[in-house]
Amino acid sequence: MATAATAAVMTTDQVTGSRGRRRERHPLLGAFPLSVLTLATFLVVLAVLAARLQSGSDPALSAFAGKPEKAARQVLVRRVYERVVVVHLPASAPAQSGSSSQQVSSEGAGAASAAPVTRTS
Amino acid sequence: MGSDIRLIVEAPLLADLPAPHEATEIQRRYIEDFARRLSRFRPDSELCALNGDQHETVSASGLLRAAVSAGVWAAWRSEGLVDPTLLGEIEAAGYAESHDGREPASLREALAAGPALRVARAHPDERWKAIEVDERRGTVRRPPGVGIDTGGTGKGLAADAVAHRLRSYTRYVVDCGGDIAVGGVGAQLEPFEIEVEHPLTGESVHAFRVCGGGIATSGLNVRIWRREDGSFAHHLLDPCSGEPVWSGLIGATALAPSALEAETLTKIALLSGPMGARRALAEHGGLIVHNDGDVELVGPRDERCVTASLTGRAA
Repeated sequence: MATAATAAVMTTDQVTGSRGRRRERHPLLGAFPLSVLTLATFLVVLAVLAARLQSGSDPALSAFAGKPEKAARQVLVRRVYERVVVVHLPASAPAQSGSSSQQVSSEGAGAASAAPVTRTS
Repeated sequence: MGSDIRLIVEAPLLADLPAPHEATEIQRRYIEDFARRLSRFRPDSELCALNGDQHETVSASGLLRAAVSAGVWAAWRSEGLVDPTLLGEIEAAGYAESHDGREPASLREALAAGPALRVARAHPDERWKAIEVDERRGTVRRPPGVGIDTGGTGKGLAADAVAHRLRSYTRYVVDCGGDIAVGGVGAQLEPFEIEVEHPLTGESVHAFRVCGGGIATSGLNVRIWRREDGSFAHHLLDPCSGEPVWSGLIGATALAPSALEAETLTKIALLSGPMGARRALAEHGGLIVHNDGDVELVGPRDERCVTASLTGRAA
């Protein structure tokens, strides 16, 4: 029994001793390189994300931006302007309804196809 | 108003509203009435009645009060540069009667004459601060003898007023002589492209995509004339001297949340010269045209950077 108990204690001591040695080795061999490695990984990921943001492809907004797009279907859009009225208002015209103004009105896209223009007047 | 009016109206949001062609007819009549009542060239207009009244406090319609308020607001916004009390000065400069239908003098010749360059300054008396609009009593109060000219803000105000009346339509443009109001939920999705005309060449030099608010242009190429002594004059006056200003710019276009503000900003830009114009247009964006015809874009042009209601892009 005593022999067995002694052997058990020795085994426990050996195990404890070997664990203690491993615990001592971790801070000496692993802490600093691990920190450096973690920081470097973080910086690399940060740099990649920053580069993507700078190039205008925010990964949070365009998760599928890298995938090739399907061929866009061609859709013919025909905008119909319901009404366009162009009326000239002379500054000193008499107060006659209708006769003082030249009115051009049109249905459909033709008269409205020209873009509105801001100009001096 | 002496200007072309253009309305583009798309479908109504509600079924019981007038159809677009009926709505445009209603608004056309509204603008004609607006111009008739606020013209300083018509002796029977409400504005002329106000300016001819010798009393300090005068009863005024809602429209006249709005027009006077807009003029005072523009003066406040411009710190006195866009001054509505320069009626006597503009008449003395040669603009007592309408120039509608009259061929303007050549802007190129005016520039070739080499006018002295300077920027405008607010009048130290700040007469516009004495104007009071009382909405409760329905009156306008101003010192006797102070004439009011709402022409500097009239087109922008008219465009905003009509835009407000069309707010239940999906997409619309109200163009009052180049001062433009854009609105409707459809315009948010599909902005209008508004082209800018060069004051010397008449060509389109840029296009702004506008999904709401206002855009306006002012320039020296239309309201310009020769005086009896042969000198050139135009309608943008220095409040301090009462004389036309040659600031180094011949045109300015401004974007703003409203057509009224856009019109005011263009006048601030033209009166302030290139440096002041860049400051005035920095917030909402726009462009200026220098004396030599060069076009300079000012302010935000990247769509991600501009205000929520307005987007601009290069043509």
